[in-house]
Amino acid sequence: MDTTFVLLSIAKIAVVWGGVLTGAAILVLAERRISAWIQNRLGPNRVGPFGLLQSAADVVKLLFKEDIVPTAANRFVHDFAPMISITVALTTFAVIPFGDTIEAFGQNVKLIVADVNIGMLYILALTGIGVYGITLAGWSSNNKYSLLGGLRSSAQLISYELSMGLSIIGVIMISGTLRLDEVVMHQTAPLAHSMQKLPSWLQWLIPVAGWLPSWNVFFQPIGFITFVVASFAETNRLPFDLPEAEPELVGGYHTEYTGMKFGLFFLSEYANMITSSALITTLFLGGWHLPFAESWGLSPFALSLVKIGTFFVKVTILVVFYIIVRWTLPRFRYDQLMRLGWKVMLPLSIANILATGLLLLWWS
Amino acid sequence: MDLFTILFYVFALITLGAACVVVFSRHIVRAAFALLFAFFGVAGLYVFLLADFIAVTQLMVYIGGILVLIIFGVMLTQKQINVDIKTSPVQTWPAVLIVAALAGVLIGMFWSTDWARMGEISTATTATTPKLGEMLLTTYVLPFEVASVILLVALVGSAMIARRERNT
Amino acid sequence: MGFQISDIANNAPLFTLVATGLVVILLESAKSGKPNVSFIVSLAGFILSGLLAVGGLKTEDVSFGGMLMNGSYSNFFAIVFCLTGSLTILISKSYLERFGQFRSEFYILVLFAAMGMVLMASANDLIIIFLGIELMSVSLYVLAGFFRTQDRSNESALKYFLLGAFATGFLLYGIALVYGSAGSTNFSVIHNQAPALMKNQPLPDSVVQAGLPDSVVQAGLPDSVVQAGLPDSVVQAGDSGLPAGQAGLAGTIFLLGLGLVIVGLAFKVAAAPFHMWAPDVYDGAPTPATGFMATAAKAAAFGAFVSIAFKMIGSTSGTISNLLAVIAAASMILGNVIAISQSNIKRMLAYSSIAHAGYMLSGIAAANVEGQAGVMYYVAAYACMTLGAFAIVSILERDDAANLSIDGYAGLSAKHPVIAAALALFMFSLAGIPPLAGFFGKYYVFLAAVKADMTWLAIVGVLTSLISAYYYLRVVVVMYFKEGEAAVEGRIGMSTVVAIAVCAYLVVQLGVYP
Repeated sequence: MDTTFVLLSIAKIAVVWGGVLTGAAILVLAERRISAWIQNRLGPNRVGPFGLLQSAADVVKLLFKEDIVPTAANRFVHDFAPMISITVALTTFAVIPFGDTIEAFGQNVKLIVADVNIGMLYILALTGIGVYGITLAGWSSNNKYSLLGGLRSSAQLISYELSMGLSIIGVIMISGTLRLDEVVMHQTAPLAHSMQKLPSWLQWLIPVAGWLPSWNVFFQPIGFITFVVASFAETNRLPFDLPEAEPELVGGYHTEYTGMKFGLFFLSEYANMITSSALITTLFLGGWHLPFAESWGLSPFALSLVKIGTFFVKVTILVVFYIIVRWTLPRFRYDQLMRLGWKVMLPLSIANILATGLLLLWWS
Repeated sequence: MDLFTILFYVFALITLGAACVVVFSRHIVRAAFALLFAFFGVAGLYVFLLADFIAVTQLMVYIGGILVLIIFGVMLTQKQINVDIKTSPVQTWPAVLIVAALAGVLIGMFWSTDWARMGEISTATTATTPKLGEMLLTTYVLPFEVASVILLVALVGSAMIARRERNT
Repeated sequence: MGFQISDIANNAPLFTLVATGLVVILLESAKSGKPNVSFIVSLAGFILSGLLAVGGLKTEDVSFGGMLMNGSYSNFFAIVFCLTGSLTILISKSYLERFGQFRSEFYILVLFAAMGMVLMASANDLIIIFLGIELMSVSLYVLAGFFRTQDRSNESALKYFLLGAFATGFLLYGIALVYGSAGSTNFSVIHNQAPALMKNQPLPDSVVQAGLPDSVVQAGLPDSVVQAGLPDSVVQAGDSGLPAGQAGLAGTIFLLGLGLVIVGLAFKVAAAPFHMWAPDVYDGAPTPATGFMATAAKAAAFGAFVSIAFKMIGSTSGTISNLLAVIAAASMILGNVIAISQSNIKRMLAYSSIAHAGYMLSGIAAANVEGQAGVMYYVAAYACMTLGAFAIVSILERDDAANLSIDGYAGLSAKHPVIAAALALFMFSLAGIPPLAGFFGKYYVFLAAVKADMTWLAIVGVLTSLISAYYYLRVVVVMYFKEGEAAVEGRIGMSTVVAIAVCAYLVVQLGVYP
C-alpha cells in the first residue's frame, strides 16, 4: 500500500463526494423547478440567477436552525439515524465506475474508488444497512406517525431488495463477474458481435440492430424494468413514497427532525437518487461507454473526459426521469405496493433468471 | 505497523467492544445497537481473511436481515424497552467451570497453532465468489438444495401459524 | 464429482417425498386445493416412496459425492418413515376433522419432516445430518403448534422450539469442533482418523492444517475443501503418515465435539438428562403429531445416531460407549419410574418413550453388530406399537384434553371390545411380553449389551422393564376390570381404524416372525 495509492484514493473519494453532494444540492433545485414547470408555475427563482443559489441558502438556513429533539425520544438513536442514512448514501458510490481510466501522476488510474471484486454484493449489502436509518429514525422519534413511516419503509425496502437483487442476477450471469467495471467493459462491444449466433431466420436483424452497443438493457429488458421499479421503491420516491406520504403520515419517519439532521435525510434521499441512477447506468446502460467514441481519434486524455461526460449525461437523464415520474404519477396504496412487490416483481425477476439461464445455455 | 495491521486492530476493537456492550448492557435497545457494530466488525475481519464473499454475506444476512428482525422485535415490544433486563447469576460454579474449560481449549488452540502457515494460504487466495458458487452447485449441491427446502418449510409453517383465522 | 443423474435414482424415496410435498403445496395454492386431495396425494406419495425404498434395499451405493450412503440401512429407515408417515396421515384425518383443523399444511409438514428423516438416516456427512435434523425439527415445531388457537398446543410448540433450537446449537458447535479436529465432515474421512484422534496421537499433516481454528480461510480455498469432500481423499488422508504436530489437543477437541454432537442427538431422541421437553410437548401437541414425533422423529434420530456411532466413530470408542451407556441407563430408570405416577395417558406414553430411548441407546452403547441390528429392529417395532397406541388415544380424545386420563378408559372393553383389545396388544408389546415385537426388540439390544461386556446395562434394562410392566398393564386393567363409561360418541374414522389394524398386524407379525 504505497502513498500514491492512498493519495489517489483520497482524491477519488473527494471527487465522488463532491460530485454527489453538489449534485444532490442541484437536484433539490432541479426538482422544484421541474415540478413548477409541470404544474405550470415558476418555482424558486429569486436567489441568484434562475434561483441557482436557492440550495445554498437552504443549507445555510438548515444549519442555523434549532435542533429540536422530542422529550420522549431516544436521544442517542435519534442522533444516530441520520448519520446512518447519509453514510450509506455516500459510500454506495464507491464501487461504481464513473469513467474508464485516466492519465494522472504518470499512472493509468481507474476511475472507481474501490475496485473490489464483489461490487454488486457490496451495493446490495449497503442497501440493507440503509433500512436502519429510516427505521430507527421512525422509532426513536416516539411519534406514531414516525413509527408507522419507519415500519412501512422497512417492510417496503426489504420486499423490494429481493427483486432488486434478483434482477441483478441476470446481469451477473451475462457478464460473469461481480465487478462493476468489468460489467461496463462487457457492454462496450457492438451488438452485432453477439448476434452472430442468432438462428438463420433472425439473421436479418444484424444489419438493422447490429450497430447498437451491447448494453445489458437489450439483453435484459425485464431485468431492467424490474430493477428500475425496485430502485424507485428503494429510494422512497413516488409512486413508492409511502414511508413519508404527507397526507397520511405528516412527514413520515422524519416528522420529528429539524435543522441539519433533517437536512441529512433530505440530502441522502437525493444522493440515493443519484447513486441508483448511476447504478442503473452502469448495469444496464453501458456505464461510461459512448458508442463510436473510440473512432473519433481523440487523445487518450480527452477520450477519458468524454467518457466521464457520457456517464454524467446518462445519470442526469435518469435523474430527470425520476423527477418527472414523481410529479406525474399518483401514489400506490400500501397493500397495492406490497402486492406489486411480492406477486408481480418477485415472480417476474425469478422468471427472468430462469429465461436468462436457458438462453445462455442455448447461446453457448 | 502498516495500515492493514492498524485497520485490523480497529476492526477487532469494534467487534470486541460492541460484543461486550451486547453482553453487559442491561438496556435492550443499546444491546441491539451494539450487535449492529459487532456484526459489522466481524464483516471487516472477514475481509482481512480474504473471504470477501463471506464478508458481504455477513453484512447482507446479519445486518440486512436478522438484525432488522431483532430491532423490529424490540421496537414492537415498546413496553419492555425501557425496562432493564434483570439478570441474576444462577448456577455460578458450573458456569465458571464450563467457561474455564472452554477458555482453556481456545487458548490451547491459540498457542499450538502454527500461525505462520496462514500467511502462505492467504497469498494463494484470489476471488472466492466464483469458486464458492461452483462448489455450491457441484460438491455441495445437496446441502444447498436441502437448505432451500428448509426455508420453504419454514415459510409454509410461519404462514400457517400467522394466517388469519378463516371460517371453515 | 458432485452430482450425477444416478444420484436421483439412488435416492428415489427421498425425491418422491420432495416431489409429493411440492405437488401438495401447488395443489393447495391453486384455488381448487382441498384437504381431501392433499390427504390422498400425500398418502400415495408415502406409499410410493416406501415401495421405492423396498426396491432399493439391495443396492449399496454412495451418492452426491459421498454426501449420502444409500443401501439397506438407509432404505430400511426410509421404509419405517414412510410407514409411520402414512399411518400418521391415516390417523390424522378424522382427528383433525373433529377439531375443525383439517388442513393441507398438516400433510405438507409431515411430508417434509419425513424427507428430513430420510436424509438423517442416509447421511454420510455431518452437514447432511444437521440439515436433515433442521428440516425435520422445523416441520415438527409447526406440527406441535398446529392447533394454534389452543394454549396447550402453543405452549408445546414454543417449548419444543426453544429447547430444540438450543439443542441444535450444541449439535452445530459439536460438528464445528469435529470438523476442526478431523478436517472433514465426511463420515468416511473422520472414520479413518478417529482411532488416531481418540488415542491422542499426532495427526497427519494435512489434517492439522485443516484443523486450525481459522478454517474460515480454508473454507475460502475451494481446492482443499473439494478434496476433502471427495472419496479419493479418504484414501489419501488415511494413508499419510503421522508426523509430529498437534498431539493431544486435536484429540481433546474431537472428543469434546463428539460429546456435543451426542448431546444434540440425545435431545432429539429425548434421552435423560435431555428429556425434559418430551412430556409437555407430547401432551400439548395434536395427538397424530405426537405419535409422529414419538415414533418417526425418534427413529430418525436413532438412524443418525447409529450412523454416527458406527460409520463415523467406529468401534474404537470406549469413552463414547461408556457415556452412551450412562445416558441409556439414566433414561431407562428415569422414564420408567416417573411414568408410574402419570395419570394422563399422553404423558405416560411420553415417559415411556424416554425409557424406550434408553433401551435403544443401550444397543448403540454396545457398539457391536448385534447392537446395530437390534436398534434397527427395535426402532421398527417401537414405531408400530407406539403409533398404534397414539392412534387409539386420538380416537378417544375430545376437546380441552378431555378423555386423556387413564381412568377415563374404564369400561372401554365393554363398549368397544376391538379397540380395547388392540390397545391391550400395544401395551403388552410395549411392556415387552413375548411373543410380541417389543419383547424381541428388548431381547436383541440386551443381548448386544451382554456381548459387549455391559451386563450391568442389560440388568438395569430388565429391571426397569419389570417396572414398566406395572404402568402398561394398569391401562389394561382399567379397561377390562373397572366399571366405567368410556365415552366414544359418534363415528370412528375409517382411516384411523385401518391404521390401528396395520399397527396391530405389524406388532404381531414382527414378534412372531422376527
